[in-house]
Amino acid sequence: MLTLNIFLSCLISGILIGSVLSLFSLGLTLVWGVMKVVNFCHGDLMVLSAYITFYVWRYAGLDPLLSLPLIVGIMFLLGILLEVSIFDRIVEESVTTQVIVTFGILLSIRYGIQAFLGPETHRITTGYAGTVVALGEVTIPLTYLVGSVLSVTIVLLFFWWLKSTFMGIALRATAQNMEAAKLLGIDVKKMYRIAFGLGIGLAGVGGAILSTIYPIYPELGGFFQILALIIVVMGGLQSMVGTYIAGLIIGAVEGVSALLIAPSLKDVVAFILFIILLNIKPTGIFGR
Amino acid sequence: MKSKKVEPKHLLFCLGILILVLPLITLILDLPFLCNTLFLCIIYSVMALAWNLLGGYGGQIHLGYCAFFGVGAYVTAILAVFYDITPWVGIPIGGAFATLLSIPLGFAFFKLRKLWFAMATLTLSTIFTLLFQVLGPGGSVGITLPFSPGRELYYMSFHGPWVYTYISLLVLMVEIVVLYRLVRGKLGYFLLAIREDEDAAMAAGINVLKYKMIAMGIGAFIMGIAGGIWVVRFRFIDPYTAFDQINFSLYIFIASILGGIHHFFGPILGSLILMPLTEYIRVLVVSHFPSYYGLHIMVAGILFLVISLLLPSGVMPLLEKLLEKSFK
Amino acid sequence: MMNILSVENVTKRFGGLVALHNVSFKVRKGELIGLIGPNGAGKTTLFNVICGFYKPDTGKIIYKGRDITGFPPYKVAKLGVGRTFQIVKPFERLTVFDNILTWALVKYKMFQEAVEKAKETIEFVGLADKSNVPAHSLILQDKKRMELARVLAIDPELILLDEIAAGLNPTELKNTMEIIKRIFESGKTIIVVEHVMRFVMNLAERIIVLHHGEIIADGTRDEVSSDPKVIEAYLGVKEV
Repeated sequence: MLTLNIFLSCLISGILIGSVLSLFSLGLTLVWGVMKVVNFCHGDLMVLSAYITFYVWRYAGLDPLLSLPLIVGIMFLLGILLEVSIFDRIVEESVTTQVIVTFGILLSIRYGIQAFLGPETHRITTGYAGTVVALGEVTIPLTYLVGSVLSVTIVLLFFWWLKSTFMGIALRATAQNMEAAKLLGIDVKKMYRIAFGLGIGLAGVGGAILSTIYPIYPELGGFFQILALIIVVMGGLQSMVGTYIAGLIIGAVEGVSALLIAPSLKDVVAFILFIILLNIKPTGIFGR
Repeated sequence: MKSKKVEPKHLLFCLGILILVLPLITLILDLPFLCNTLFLCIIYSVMALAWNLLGGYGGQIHLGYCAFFGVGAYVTAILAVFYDITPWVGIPIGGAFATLLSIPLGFAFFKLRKLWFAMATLTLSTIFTLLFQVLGPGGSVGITLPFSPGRELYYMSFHGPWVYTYISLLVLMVEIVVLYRLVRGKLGYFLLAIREDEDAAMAAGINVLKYKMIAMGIGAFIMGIAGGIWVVRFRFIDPYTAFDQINFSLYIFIASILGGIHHFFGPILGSLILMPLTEYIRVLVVSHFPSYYGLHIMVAGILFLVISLLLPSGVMPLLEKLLEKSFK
Repeated sequence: MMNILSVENVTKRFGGLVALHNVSFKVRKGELIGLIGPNGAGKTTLFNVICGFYKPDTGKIIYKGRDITGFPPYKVAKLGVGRTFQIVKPFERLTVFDNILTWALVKYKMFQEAVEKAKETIEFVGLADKSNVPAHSLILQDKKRMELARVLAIDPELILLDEIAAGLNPTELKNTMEIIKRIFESGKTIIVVEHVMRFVMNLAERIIVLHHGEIIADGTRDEVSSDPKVIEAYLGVKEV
């Protein structure tokens, strides 16, 4: 029975999830902006982080919210490692090569997880997982609320860092005009490392938070990759703020459509939207 | 240089004879694994070669060729099960349907430049799987081809993979002849132009959309036929198998890159390497460590990664050099 | 039909920026026109509009009496308009010969005829000895010559050359000018966009000057070089 309250619950929950999606998509925008590379395996790296969070929870008993700094640290380092070993080499290469390489990583991660960790679905069930917060008649799961508060905080921190620190400004400069940045003495290679590390770190946070909300399985990466792409394209590829807002919108759409459309068709709707979006406005709704 | 008696031509001839005879040998010696792997090698050669027309020559990385495969498979199955039409006729019709499908898909996707094209086509597997789950005959359960003793030839129901291997070989031969001629002619040059620089191609007077559509249309037809052959071989199709992203979108891509996308025979070479490798790991792993299912795909992924970083032109150039050296 | 090309009131905006404003001029068959103007004046944009790479916001392009406004570039090329690009666009991995052959194949349906045309053209521009060299390994001058050869291979009636002289040293410039003169003498209509004054002034009888997207002068060499508006636009830099 569709009542306004149920609708609002879904809508608000959706927007809250959206803030987590935004976080993870910002990582993709960052990598694209600074390195001009689209990372096909972003979604799978996020799922990897979710798996790590899960195993840390299962074997060390650490609540995901507490293990978050650890996870982010691991993912940040992983990002730098990937950049140094692989991505550095493909920055200047053709689009085809970038597709191929990031694809190889995607397959290695996704099926590595499946082969070594099993294809089963895992769920993190913390003590407070089932609790629901009620605002009047509208109900929102606590995990959503906590997750979104956390992600909003991190995003704000991230935006602050970008605007106020030297490193952040240098990063933005490199994204806007690499030649000029080089002339100013900015070490572009270092920028790549940091951008990629941060990008994967953000994906890591997204993964960790989402693991408290969604059940995780190896193929989840594919779905989130497309979501991230939709968000990034909608947000205009280079615009951080645009990406953020697009994330909220997509979250809302996801939340509401789960209600109105059969769950199995939800993915199809998202993908078809993606194709339509690419056709009508390749520069996104907020792009130039 | 003519002092040696053995020339590359002789080697190729021997290889050709070997491939022609091998399926029969596996039948006689009862080597089911080898027989099946051979089938896969040939059918994947068919598919990868078709993919490479748009991929290697046209420069467009289409990651959703499984859509054409699955449609071909389904049409063949539907015609056999619901209309009692023999797959000998149904398979080409399946190919035709796949080509028809390629037209609206072309309009939807070809506006997008390389990267976005790859991303958008990646969604096709999921879309078609879900579409056929919900709307397809047989739904999630799929369709099984009839088991009709006495009418085996009609329903293309043969014991063991070896007949299907010969059918696929026939398709491959025809495909090689036709594609080779096309690629050496106008179509080949125009596709290369599109790959190298679309704007310059336009300025030359090349209708870029038209030629991309032609390349994909041909590829779709062949994929549809491959799908039909797959269905008669395995006697069964369902949405998950038909539109399997790994097997029918990604493997053919990997095979082409592995062998060398800039060489005509590259995709064939790649399939001949990829299939035995992945099959061996899959069968080995499944028999000894069933919980490690998926390892073969991970290995394919790592191989892919390594090749793309260290050998971006694929294995073919190495092979050519090797042949050159041995025959000098 | 004396006018092979007629550009009528063409305006093109990119967001808030007006790249071309009310541009109009006519080109007679057999003319060699120099299109000059400071950087950012809109010269390449004008070429792109004529060839169909951009659609004008207002105005028309009439080619041989036919309204071709909004035609896709390949259609315009097939009608007989050939162009080169300011930043050369070779088919990098193909050989020089194959580059030219590809263009020839558009015009010449029979493969052998196209091959003949390509051979003829490659000789004409003087690249015959580099036939089998991959295009990416050529020096700039040769890449530009190849661009010219490609354009010639489609037997255009109107040729648009976008900064064909940029980046060439004096000897190379002289060579290129010779080739263009020969092309012109064979009866083609040519519009040359140029920065290098010496090149343009020596080649073209008629000069059109574009500045901030508008035509500020359209006349003979002498008229234009003594036009105060032109001199002002170039801030007194005038090299003849």
